[in-house]
Amino acid sequence: MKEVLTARNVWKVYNAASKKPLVAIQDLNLSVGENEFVSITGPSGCGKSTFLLMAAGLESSSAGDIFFEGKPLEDGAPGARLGMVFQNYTLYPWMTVSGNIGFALQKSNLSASEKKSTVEEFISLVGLKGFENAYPNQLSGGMRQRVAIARALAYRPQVLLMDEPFGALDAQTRRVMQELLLRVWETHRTTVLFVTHDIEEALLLSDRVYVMTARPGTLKEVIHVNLPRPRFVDMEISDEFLALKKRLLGLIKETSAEA
Amino acid sequence: MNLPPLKKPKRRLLEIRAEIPPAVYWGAGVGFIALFFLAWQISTSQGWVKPIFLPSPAAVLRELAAQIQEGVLWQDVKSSVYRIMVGWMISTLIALPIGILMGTFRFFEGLFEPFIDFVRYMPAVAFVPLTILWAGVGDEQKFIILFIGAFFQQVLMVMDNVKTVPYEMIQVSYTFGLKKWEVLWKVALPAALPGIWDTLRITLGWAWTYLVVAELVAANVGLGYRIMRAQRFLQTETIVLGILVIGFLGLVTDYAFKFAYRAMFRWMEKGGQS
Ligand SMILES: Nc1ncnc2c1ncn2[C@@H]1O[C@H](COP(=O)(O)OP(=O)(O)OP(=O)(O)O)[C@@H](O)[C@H]1O
Ligand SMILES: [Mg+2]
Repeated sequence: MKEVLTARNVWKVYNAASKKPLVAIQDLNLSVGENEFVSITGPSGCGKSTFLLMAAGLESSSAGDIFFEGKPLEDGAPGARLGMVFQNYTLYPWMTVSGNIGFALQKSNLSASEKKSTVEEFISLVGLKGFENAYPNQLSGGMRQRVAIARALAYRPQVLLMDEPFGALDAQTRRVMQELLLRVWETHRTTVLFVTHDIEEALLLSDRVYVMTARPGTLKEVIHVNLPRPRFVDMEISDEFLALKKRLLGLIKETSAEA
Repeated sequence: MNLPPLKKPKRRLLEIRAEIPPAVYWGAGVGFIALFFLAWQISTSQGWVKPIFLPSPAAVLRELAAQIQEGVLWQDVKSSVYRIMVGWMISTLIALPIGILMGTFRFFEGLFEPFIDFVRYMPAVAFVPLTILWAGVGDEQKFIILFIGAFFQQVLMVMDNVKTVPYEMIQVSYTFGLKKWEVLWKVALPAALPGIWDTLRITLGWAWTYLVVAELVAANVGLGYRIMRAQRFLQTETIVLGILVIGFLGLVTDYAFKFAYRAMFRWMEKGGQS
């Protein structure tokens, strides 16, 4: 499989010049293949969000390199090749749902009518037909995250980075969103790097799950999730799933004991 | 859709944060003002206070009619409003870009904030004698006082307005391929705009105070000047009228800002699709 995103011996040290430098990430190695769905999980503060920001080109690494299709990411050069979905607060509240998605397309080469149809396509993909002209404040939390996902997908980034995108949602909405993401991903195959605390979510969605150690975060283990696709939320009670979950729980327990 | 018979929504007047009918909300506000005027009327007509300390509403109304007829009121209002507008505008036009830069780039925050904090604590009023030396007693001197009074507050408030824009919103904008200045112009500013609008409204209110103080000390025309002159002749009804007119003008501008806010920032409202 072609590697799209590769981290080689990546370090992130905050306050490096001070007396108390904070090593957030230590010598991390990982890779994400083309059209692969990869999750990262690990204890709070182990550097997951930091890594995503570096992968998006929004932060620079302190040592080591992150490669995008074999070429090192230049520092501070975020481009439209990488899409990002955060947990919260990133929709533009003064723009409608269509406006938000259209905004992400402004740098694309599509014609005006193509942009319009792309916006419509992605609105219906995330099930928000009829809400085109609603403002984010008028939407529920789950609906807002759907818009954020549609917006991040609409400009067709080569890699989609998601930082606990469902973390703020209630359990039920979260399941709905997981199913939605599975269906969207099956129709619009793309490379995804997904951060989550929820190990069931990680297993359900991913091809591989990276488990990180407590800070300073580094790789602890990789789990290959060989569950068949298409996947559905009710697979979580299958034996294979439960066996994987048990293994992952064990790993998590070790990492938190270290913390 | 067929709805079942609906219960009347419970309307408790004093429930934390609960909505109340608009009629009650506005009625109470207007009623309270009416009550204030009634109390004033009674205390003067009953002779509880001497007219020399507090004239009756009727006396103030007569003064109002007289001033309108002589054209003094219009002249005073015109020059005071003109001074406020120019002084506050100059201050706003300079404070906006500087505040935005300070809220956006730590360098500008570091550069300006200590100085601004220092000047901010100097009472604008204390500059009145100095500004008279600099600029006489005309409009220019009023502009300077208004500027000193409003500018430093405005800059800091605008900076805070810009800083409240969530950083993730900035970061995600970069991933759409926007450049730094595009992020500032297309994302950070529109996101900060409602807060900035409120800053403008609040500082305009403060500007009135500074203007009147400046006019009380030295002026040939203006609402503050009229009040000052009346004191010399113990014309309390002129003083009271001047104070009321200032209050009224403040109220009108404040509501103009609030209504404009609602019209411009519809998207801030929760619920209900527009
Ligand atoms: N801008 C920053 N300056 C200094 N320290 C930072 C900064 N950002 C993150 N850190 C520190 O780096 C460490 C990793 O933070 P990060 O947000 O990446 O953790 P995380 O794995 O995403 O945690 P969580 O699961 O709670 O979201 C933390 O100890 C955090 O305090
Ligand atoms: Mg995080």
